[in-house]
Amino acid sequence: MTRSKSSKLFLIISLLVFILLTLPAWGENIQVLATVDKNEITLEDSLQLSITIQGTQNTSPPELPSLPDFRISSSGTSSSTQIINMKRNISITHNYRLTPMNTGNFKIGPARIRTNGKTYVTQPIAIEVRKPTAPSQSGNRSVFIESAISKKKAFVGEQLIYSFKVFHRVEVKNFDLNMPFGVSYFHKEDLGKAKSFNSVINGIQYHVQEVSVALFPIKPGKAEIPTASLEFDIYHRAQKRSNQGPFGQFFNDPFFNQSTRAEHKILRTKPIFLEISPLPENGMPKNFDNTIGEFQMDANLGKNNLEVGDTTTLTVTVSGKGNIRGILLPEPDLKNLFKVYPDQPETHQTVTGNQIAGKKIFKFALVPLKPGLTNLPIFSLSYFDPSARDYRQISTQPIKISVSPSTAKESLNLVQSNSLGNISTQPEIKNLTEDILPLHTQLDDFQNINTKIDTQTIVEFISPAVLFLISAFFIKQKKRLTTDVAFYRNQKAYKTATEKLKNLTLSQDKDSRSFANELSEILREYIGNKLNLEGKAITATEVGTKLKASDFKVSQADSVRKLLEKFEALQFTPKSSGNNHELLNESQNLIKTLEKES
Amino acid sequence: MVILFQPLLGYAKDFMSEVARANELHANNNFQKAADAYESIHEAGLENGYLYYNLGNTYIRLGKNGFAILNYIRALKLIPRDENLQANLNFAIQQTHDKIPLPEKSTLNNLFFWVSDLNLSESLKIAFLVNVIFWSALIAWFYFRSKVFKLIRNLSFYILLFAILSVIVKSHLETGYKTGVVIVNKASVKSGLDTSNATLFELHEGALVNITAERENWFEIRLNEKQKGWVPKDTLGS
Repeated sequence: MTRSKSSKLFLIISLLVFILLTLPAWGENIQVLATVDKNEITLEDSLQLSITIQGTQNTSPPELPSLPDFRISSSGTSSSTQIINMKRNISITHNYRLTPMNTGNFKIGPARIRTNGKTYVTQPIAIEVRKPTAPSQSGNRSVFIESAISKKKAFVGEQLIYSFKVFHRVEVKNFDLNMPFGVSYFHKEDLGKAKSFNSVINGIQYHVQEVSVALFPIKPGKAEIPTASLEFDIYHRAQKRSNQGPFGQFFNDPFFNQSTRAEHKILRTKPIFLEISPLPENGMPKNFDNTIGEFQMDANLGKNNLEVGDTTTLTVTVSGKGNIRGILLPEPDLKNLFKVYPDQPETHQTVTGNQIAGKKIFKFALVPLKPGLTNLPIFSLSYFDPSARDYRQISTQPIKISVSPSTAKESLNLVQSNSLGNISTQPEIKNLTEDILPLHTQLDDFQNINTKIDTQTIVEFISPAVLFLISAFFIKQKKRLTTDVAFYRNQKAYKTATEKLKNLTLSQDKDSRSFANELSEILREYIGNKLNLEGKAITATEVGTKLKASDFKVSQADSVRKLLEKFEALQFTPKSSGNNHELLNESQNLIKTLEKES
Repeated sequence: MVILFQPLLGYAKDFMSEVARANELHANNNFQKAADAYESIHEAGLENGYLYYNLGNTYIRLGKNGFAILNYIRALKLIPRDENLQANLNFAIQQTHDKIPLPEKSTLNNLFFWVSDLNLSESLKIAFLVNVIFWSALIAWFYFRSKVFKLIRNLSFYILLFAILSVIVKSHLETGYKTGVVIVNKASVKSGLDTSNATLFELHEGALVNITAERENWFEIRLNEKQKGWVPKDTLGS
């Protein structure tokens, strides 16, 4: 009994708590409040703006004022529900991170909250953004960044290495690097993934992560690499020594350590200014094609002795440091001596020691057309060497090729010789322009399409089920007629009786005695079929009793009994043909009434 | 039986002559009149993927990439397997300033990958057909009680469940994830429901966004996990 009472009490308390939690706050006294975690920050910090709405949790997000000197990002919402002295207080807080873009004194204007047709505004907040204090030396800072360029004076097209390093000796996560390179001054090539290593500066060990890109100046004059910025979170952790058990190390993970605090920071580098000189006009070779760097060139031939119609491959390899991807070589001029099929050049670029180096391989499939000894033309490349500040020219060595007459009898179809081993001679098909594909003109396809599920769709979907239910009813009836005799007799009783009565209608001129006898038989047979009895053998009194015992009304049972007694009485009266019609009508009406009631 | 198969028969109204006239206007480089003609056919009640496709092509010719992309996206719901449509949509996106690709498919979409290749009408037709097969098999089995009909009944029942589930998922994907297209030259995305609020970022004509909420005359839009805000309704088509 006590247990039952305590269960009820618990249930009531739970219900009350639930009602308190689900009902809107009493009074709906809405207040809005804007707060910041600090008023004075440096360009390296960010501040947290929190807008708290008390009294409701169902509002649209606050409308922030225009803040052109800050970058705004949402840092989530939190809601709170408190019940103190049976009074429920609810609130929702929208948090934003404001990252300063400039120094100065700023005012965060009023934010607006619209709810229930009313507008609420927060109070303005004054913020001072200062320049970051310059450290005496980098070793005193827990995190700092550096950006550097390999040369501040360079030639157009010369490879420069622009690197960005972050040094940290505390736990730092969520790096977000914005490293613009001055797209109007330089062409950029990536130098692979960021490198990670340790470095000791003034006796302090730092973890360093370095990102480098190769920049190629595209025009002479003053050039600027804009400020790079890095956003990150510094994790400050309290040095708890409580978890020293066997799982201490495991529970010391930041996941379990509740005293971890993240501080968002943004660091910016200074812009880098460069002076880009044009390439010297003096000594510029005629075939110079803006190739800058240090290169070597080599050529070799697959076979030096071959027959007319054979195939050999001439391979020219240019290797070295610089913008190797842009090097182009002309097709060798072999006029009517050879059929030349140039292949797509292959470029293999690698990054070694923060320099882009590599090789570009040009392949030409040569098919000799005439026998004889030929010197293949040499390939030349002119380039500018920035370290020597001068132009250089390199060439391949001369190659001799001996072509003997063909031993094959059939002439070669050189036009179709496009299966030259691994050398693809199929020319690259270039798109000349891009355009949309044409209109759809197949008019038969412009039919209306059903795009929603409406009541008609549902009705149409259900209709087969309805059809099934109707069919099932009739199938079941049909099957029962073949297996259930009582049911069969019951179902057929009326039909049999009406047919027999119809036949009797044709012989109404019979004498009343035999007419009554036949009517009596029809009626008793009908009752017998309905009640699954041997109808012809039962008496009028038995029929009355049986009908009363089943679902028929007492009055109807009495009517049947009386009519049957009337028929029996007529058996013993003298023959006449006067009231047959009345008897027939009376019988028909009675059977109809009984059928309706059954 | 007419009621049962009515969804498979389509509607009687014939728009062919109007479409042919609009196509001819387009062929004669009369693009503005062609666009007006296609729009009037749509207003007259024709809901058809190829109509939206032709309208998108016409808007491309008129230099209205926002409206072109909007109509291609509408077409994509109705003729999702059309290769020309995919190519033209990609082309139109490449012509935009922001070049924002179509939103990535959701987990539900990846799980029910086949619904992406069917429009809602096709999904419904399959479900209707399987529905008729199932109930017919049930009636036949009820009458004859044979093993063959029992097998057909069981098989069609599972296929029917699958088809209904596909229709529900398709319907949910079409109503739950709403894509909007910027139809003005430049749209400033605000932090709140007023033009005096801070501009969080700017979008240009043809930019694709997810519409996440709707209030008064404003849409809440989301580009990615970090970038979201409010834009006036008249700057977006959906």
